[in-house]
Amino acid sequence: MKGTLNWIWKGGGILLLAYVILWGFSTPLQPGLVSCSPSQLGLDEETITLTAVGQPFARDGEVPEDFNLVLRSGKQLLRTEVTAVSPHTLEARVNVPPTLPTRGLDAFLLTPTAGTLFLGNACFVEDAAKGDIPAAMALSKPDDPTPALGFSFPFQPNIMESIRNLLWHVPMWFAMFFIMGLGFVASLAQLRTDSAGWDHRAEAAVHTGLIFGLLGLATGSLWARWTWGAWWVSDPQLNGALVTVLLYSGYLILRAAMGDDDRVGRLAAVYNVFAFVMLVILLMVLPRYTESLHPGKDGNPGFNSYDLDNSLRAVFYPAVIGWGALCYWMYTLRLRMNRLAYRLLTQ
Amino acid sequence: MNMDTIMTSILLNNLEGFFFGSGKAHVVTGVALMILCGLAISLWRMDRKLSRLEDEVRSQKP
Repeated sequence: MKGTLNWIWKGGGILLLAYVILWGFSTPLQPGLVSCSPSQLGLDEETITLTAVGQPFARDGEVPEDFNLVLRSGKQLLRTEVTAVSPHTLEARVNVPPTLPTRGLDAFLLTPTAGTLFLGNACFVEDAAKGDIPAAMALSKPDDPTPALGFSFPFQPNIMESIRNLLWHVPMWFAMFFIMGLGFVASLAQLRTDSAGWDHRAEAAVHTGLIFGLLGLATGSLWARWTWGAWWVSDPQLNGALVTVLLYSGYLILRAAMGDDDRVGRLAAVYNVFAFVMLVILLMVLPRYTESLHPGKDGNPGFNSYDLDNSLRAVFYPAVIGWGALCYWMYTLRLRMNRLAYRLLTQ
Repeated sequence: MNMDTIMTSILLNNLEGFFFGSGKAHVVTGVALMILCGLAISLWRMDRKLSRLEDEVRSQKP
């Protein structure tokens, strides 16, 4: 019975990860505007082209009747005429007025299927004088269309398709917290009882947690390169993660350096307790008190309603459970190896 | 593309057609699934080997 249950949670974890891979990679991204060409407009009739990524917002050759492109300057709206639409681009004619409240124009593309797409500071009119948009060119606020997109991941500027990395990077860190937490409890118990069994648990937890920590660093660094533009930025959350991984590496170095010394268990347990306290401070406390590039905002490194929507949650939560199960499976294997080695050495 | 569309695509087209769909993005899914299968098989084999070793050690215990 126990063996069957064991295989159920192990197989379940792998099945959940397979589900995460299938849904995570095959779910389309909602369309989002990424660029406007030209970015500088003159005071005349201009033709602009907006480019989008993600799910197509129109079919090739579709008559652009229901499409409405509105440019916003300050709090006023400027009328445009959509002339052509393709799956990922839209062409529109715009009469640029001589006066505008601001030189930067935001673009709002109202589509019948994808809802409203937004591009901030889509283009600039350097020669425009400051003033109101002439009444003939101005537009009152149009009704927001209701999007009719199927199951799809949200579009976020800069992140775009790489949002799928959320299903790998974040659950790996969660799995590391979970297993390091187990190691912390095992070290406390080891200090109380001085039992080799708890020492084996702590060592297995740190060993497994470190693998997930390194994977979390690698996936985060890769993500940072294509969203923030650098492999590593001096950010409290990132530096904290690196210091934590180095601290836990120190735990394994300490054990290796002490060899068969009888005191290794107790010393390693003391070190592990401090390492876990540092993990909590560096990854959960400090980033909340400092400005951070890491999601979400205002120094809060956690995820909130702006970062996750229901479609992402449907894959993200199974990913957390799946990676957690895989991590725990690896931990149990390491623990059993430790026990076997100990038994063979003490026989 | 949701799961129903994927299954329909596999059934209507052949497997090659499926992997060329969506700009060959399904190839990435296939590779990731293969890596996961490899990882699962190696963990499973290690688990079984450990169980055998544990049984052996237990049976040798005086």
